[in-house]
Amino acid sequence: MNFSLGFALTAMVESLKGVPVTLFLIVATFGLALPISFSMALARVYKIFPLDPLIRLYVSFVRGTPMLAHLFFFYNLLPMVIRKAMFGLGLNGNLVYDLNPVWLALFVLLLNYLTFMSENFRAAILSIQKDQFEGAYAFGFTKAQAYRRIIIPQAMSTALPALSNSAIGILKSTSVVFVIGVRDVTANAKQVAATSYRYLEAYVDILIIYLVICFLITRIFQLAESRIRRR
Amino acid sequence: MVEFIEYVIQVVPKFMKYLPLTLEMALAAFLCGALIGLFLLWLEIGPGRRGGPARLFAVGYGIALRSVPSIILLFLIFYGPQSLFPKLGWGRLPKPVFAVITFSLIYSAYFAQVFRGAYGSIDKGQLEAALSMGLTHAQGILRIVGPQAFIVALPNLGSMMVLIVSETSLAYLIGVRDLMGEVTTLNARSYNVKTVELYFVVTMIYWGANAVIERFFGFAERKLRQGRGNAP
Amino acid sequence: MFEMRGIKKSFNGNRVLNGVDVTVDKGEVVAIIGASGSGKTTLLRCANFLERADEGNVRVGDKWVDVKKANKKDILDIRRMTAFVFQNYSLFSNKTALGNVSECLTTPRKVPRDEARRIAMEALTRVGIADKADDYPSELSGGQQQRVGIARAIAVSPDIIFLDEPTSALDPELIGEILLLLKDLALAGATMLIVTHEIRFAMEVANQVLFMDEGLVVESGPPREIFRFPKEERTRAFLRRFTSDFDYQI
Repeated sequence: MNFSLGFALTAMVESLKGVPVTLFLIVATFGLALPISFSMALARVYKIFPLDPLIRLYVSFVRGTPMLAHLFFFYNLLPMVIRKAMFGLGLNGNLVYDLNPVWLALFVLLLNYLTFMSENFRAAILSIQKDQFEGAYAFGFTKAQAYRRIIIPQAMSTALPALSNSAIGILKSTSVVFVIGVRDVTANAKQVAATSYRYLEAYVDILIIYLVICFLITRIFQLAESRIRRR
Repeated sequence: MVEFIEYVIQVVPKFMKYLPLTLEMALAAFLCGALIGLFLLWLEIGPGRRGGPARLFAVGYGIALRSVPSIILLFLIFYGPQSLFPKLGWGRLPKPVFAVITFSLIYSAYFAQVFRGAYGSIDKGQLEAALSMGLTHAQGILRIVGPQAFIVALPNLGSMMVLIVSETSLAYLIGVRDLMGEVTTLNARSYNVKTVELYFVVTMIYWGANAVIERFFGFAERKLRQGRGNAP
Repeated sequence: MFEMRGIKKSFNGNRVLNGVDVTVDKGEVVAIIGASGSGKTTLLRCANFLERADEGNVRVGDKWVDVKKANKKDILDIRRMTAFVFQNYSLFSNKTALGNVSECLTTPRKVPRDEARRIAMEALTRVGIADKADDYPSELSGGQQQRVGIARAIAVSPDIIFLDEPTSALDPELIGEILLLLKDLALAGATMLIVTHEIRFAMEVANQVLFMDEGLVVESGPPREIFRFPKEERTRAFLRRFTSDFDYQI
């Protein structure tokens, strides 16, 4: 047996320093994705051309390709494009190299989870009975009013369990963004592990951290569910 | 643009050599995961399981495995036994094996969910009818309920296979030379000036492979449904 | 007060309404009877554009609308002058009983919140479930839900209330009390157009009965005439099947 509790503690302290970055990525991705993915779901439910087929293609692309590849692809492509664009505008494009990779990670996470969350919302909207719309329309609600007051609140509470799964998915996906140099939990743990050749302790540590965050996310959504009274 | 297309055409065959490894890892993980998933479901809802430890284990396993990031479990399975029991020779196993173990374990939890849903969607009367005709419980499950549930589960199994194919790309991070790993090799060989092209190509290959897989599952579902009426 | 003229409607090439005329005067109750598939529910849904008729005109108060030319504003105007009671209640499941009523005042009609709550509470009291004001639809029985549905309809003080088989989803023992409530409303002067299978109710409460068959009004007139001395064979055939239903006391 070769497991050093002392080192596990040291590595834990180091890994915990990455928690704010990990949490930021989760909150920012989820928060930005909420309104956009809901709009995407509406475009699909109402088959708005050309958004509907485009979103379908986009969903198929994201589902069928690894996020790891997206990360590497955009990590190499975006700075190049932005740099050229900035020089084109007469700005100092080299500033792009100071860009914190966390923004790229956010971009790629968003790219991925927009699709999952829009599917969550689409399923929720489709699950709302037609009579809820008719009840509103019959009393003179406009479509926008019906959505704001009746449909969205119901879709939100129906979508919550699926959204909770998506949020956990985001958490799990953040564990890969170290490959483009984001200093998250995993990156910190890997660094400690590499300097001392003690991998097991470090990975057990981050496993614990991820399980705790996962538990917290689950709890938050459970609370939200009991808050938004679902009937 | 022409230069880009030429390069892509030139490099695709080099990637294609590694597509089989990616697909083999995915298929192995798919089959093992499905088997473990079935076993978990049996632990959970097999006869006389109400509230027992087997059931608790299956449920706890499901929650835990659905909370762990794949990459962390992959690292743990790759490094863990090696450092705990160095004499075991764990590290000498071929690297793809670690990926297969990891994804089998993770996806078994999802398989169990899919199977549970499919099993639940089959009318209880089907099993009762089988039992009343003198089949044993096991025969009823295997010959009557199982095949029907399998068809219901097919679309989800297809999505699962697609997800697993994409996930195997993580194996590159423990040094497996699969599709994703090949990018690094080719990138170094082209002095890092074709990185964007290489990742573009590899992404498209994953997409293409997954599109074929989705077609296949759609086709299989239609074939199996023929003449069996339309389950919801 | 309320009129529909020459209403025609097809679904996928199947004629459901074949040129129907309806007139309801102020304070009048008109009952539409007929077998299922005769088009009576579709007619009612065309009245407030839940279903859009292919041809015809609808009038509420002074507002005439040609269904072919009706724009969003025309439809909203018609809907805000009318109210609808659904067969399956169609209460908003994310709102309490009180919320269901007041929401229809505040959001589409811009009634101030406090005022809306007061009116809503009055309506709930009138239908006899003020004590359930804070309950959600899922906590209410079918009869209670339909009471909320009716409260919602009277609270918006509509020119006319459309009722689509308001008792047919209810347990038999609850039907009587809802019909009694509707009778009270009628006596208090509410204008109603009601699709119903309750022959006895139509007999006692309606000023006029329309019998529909195959998308047409086959026969119409005061209830006693229609039920006692039906002229058309189709009406007679229909009524024979319903004589056994004459046993609800209201």
